[in-house]
Amino acid sequence: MKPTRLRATLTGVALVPVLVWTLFPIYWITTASFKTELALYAKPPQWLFTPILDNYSRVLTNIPFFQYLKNSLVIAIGTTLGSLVLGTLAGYGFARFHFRASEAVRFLVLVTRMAPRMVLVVPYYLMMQRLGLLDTYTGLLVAYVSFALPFSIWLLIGFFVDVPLDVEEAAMIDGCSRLGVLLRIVIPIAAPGLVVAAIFAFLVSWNEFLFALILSGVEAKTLPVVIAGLNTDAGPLYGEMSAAAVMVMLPNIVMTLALQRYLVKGLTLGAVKG
Amino acid sequence: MRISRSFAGVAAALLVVLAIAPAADAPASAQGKTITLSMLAGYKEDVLRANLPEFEKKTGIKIVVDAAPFGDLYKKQLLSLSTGGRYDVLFMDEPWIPPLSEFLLPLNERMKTLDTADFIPTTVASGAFQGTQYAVPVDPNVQLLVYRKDLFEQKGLKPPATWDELLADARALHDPAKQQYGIAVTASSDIQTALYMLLAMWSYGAELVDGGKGSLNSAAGKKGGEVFLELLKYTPPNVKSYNFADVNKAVQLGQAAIAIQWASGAKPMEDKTRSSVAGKLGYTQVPKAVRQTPMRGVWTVGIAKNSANQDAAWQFATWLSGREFGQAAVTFPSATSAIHSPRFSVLKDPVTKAALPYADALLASLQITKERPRLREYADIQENLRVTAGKLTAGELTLEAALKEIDAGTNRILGK
Repeated sequence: MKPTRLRATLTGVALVPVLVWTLFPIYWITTASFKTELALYAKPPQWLFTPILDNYSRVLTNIPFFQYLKNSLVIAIGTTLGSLVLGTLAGYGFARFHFRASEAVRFLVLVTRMAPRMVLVVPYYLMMQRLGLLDTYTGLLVAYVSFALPFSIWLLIGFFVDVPLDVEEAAMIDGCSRLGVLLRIVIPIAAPGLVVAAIFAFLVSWNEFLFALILSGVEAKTLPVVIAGLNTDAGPLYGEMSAAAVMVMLPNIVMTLALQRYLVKGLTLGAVKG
Repeated sequence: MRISRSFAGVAAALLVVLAIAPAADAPASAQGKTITLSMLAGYKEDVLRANLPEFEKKTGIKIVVDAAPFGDLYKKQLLSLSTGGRYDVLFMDEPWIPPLSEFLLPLNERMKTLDTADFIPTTVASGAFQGTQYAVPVDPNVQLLVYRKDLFEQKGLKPPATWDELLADARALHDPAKQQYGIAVTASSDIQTALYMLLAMWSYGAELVDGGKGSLNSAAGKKGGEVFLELLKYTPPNVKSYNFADVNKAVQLGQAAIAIQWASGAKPMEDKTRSSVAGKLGYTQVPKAVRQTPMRGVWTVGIAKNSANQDAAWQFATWLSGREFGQAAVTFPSATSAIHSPRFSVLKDPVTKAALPYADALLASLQITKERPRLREYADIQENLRVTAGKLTAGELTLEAALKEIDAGTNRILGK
């Protein structure tokens, strides 16, 4: 066996427990969603069973699932767009323009990520109440964009700094405005970074529970709150929870697989940024 | 002409009557209002949503339901009420009423309009605090003793009436080799462990708080604690990680011959798709020692003091606690669980008894049920009890040390 082949084999073997560790909970949730409660609780566990769709049917009929799915999608896409637009502008600004307090301001952006979310929930609630934004898409969007933005800014600064200044200057000599440079030159070059920032912003919103619970109510309720509601005072409804969790995971999996190429590239590039 | 004018008059009157007929049950001040309800998410929400259209059609009052998970509902209600929030009606577990009372509308005068004789008295008491009624009962819950009728018959046993009989029966039915265990209770740091232990201590005459002080550390408390610890010898092997759902699971899988469980866990035990022992279970009151003290936990509805729609909110609260909704709720086709009515007329109804095999035990237990201390600080006291009971069952504390620690914690919380 050649050394490179041996190394690949050993790497593969080493990855098996990591993959099992990572994928087993997903396998368990997925199979649980197709089991009866008796099969779910069976000891020893039933590895082979007759799948049923009752859990899905109960989730889809007892709960206005698609309404909450729409809420989650609108808010997650809004958060993604908001944090991308603001993150791009701020990141580019920090990368290209230096002023007296620019380092301090850059640091302050990160400070907002240092406080535990729990500490912020009551002030956010009071602000949204005063502004009449409780239980609205806007209220949750404002909160989530503020959570995703520091990460987006810091991630994108690294990508923008790496874009050769000469290219930008050449474009400007050819008559391109600063905004034109950003849109036509910088963003296409830094696209992998934007994809990574977009995925993280989407996930921040898609999976967030605490603020969705407190700031939403009837109109803007998102799926994580709905799933938590299946943990009742008479115990968790594991079958229904699993079915809902599978349906919530699906868009993430599809999106991540579709953007996998950019994601890997973006993460790798981001890893060597200064 | 004359005829046609009369006809037109009659037709117009008829139209007016038809227009107002759907809202005839609501007082004028309540019609056309929109009420926001803070509700518990899950199966209780399902039951409510299924029946709401009828209420809305009948009264003209629209109900907006904001449902939150059990673990977060109280926090959300407290935050909303304390900041002048958005709820008109709140669905509350009874221990929440003392701390929320300052934000709730006193209902003593309005209660006089209800047929209170039909309510089980202990359930009405669940909505009161310091002599003021703040909520009406909707869904009463109480601890029951569940047992396998088939196994008891095979062994020629009677359902246990006392803790000594319970211990003897659990011992007789405990056969780990066959994965058959005497009794299912929790012995983890879950809140249910603390409540099981408290149930046993209460039965022997101990009180969690007496005279404004922690008072479990007594001969009665010790005896109750010993019985509880003795019971753990006849449980499934993993009860140290059990919670409410695991007790249900042990019954539903046919592993436990006996269980002490809240009535809210009983319905899935009788569902054939969820339980291998459906139809084989008997239900009775929890055992007694010097007294019988099944613990009470009633879900109630109250009205926010700052609600702008108090008449409509009251109309809705009375409908929720009424016979019509109660009857619809107990027969709601849910395998998960039920909303149990607080009314004699509903729980005694043959239709209810056919739907809920435990209806008799539920009614009998509710009539003698014991409430947990009605204190604003109760949540903290219960948390202290939970933590210490967990240490006791984990073997970190002896019973004597645990009792001392519980009382010390209670006194600290009460500022004694």
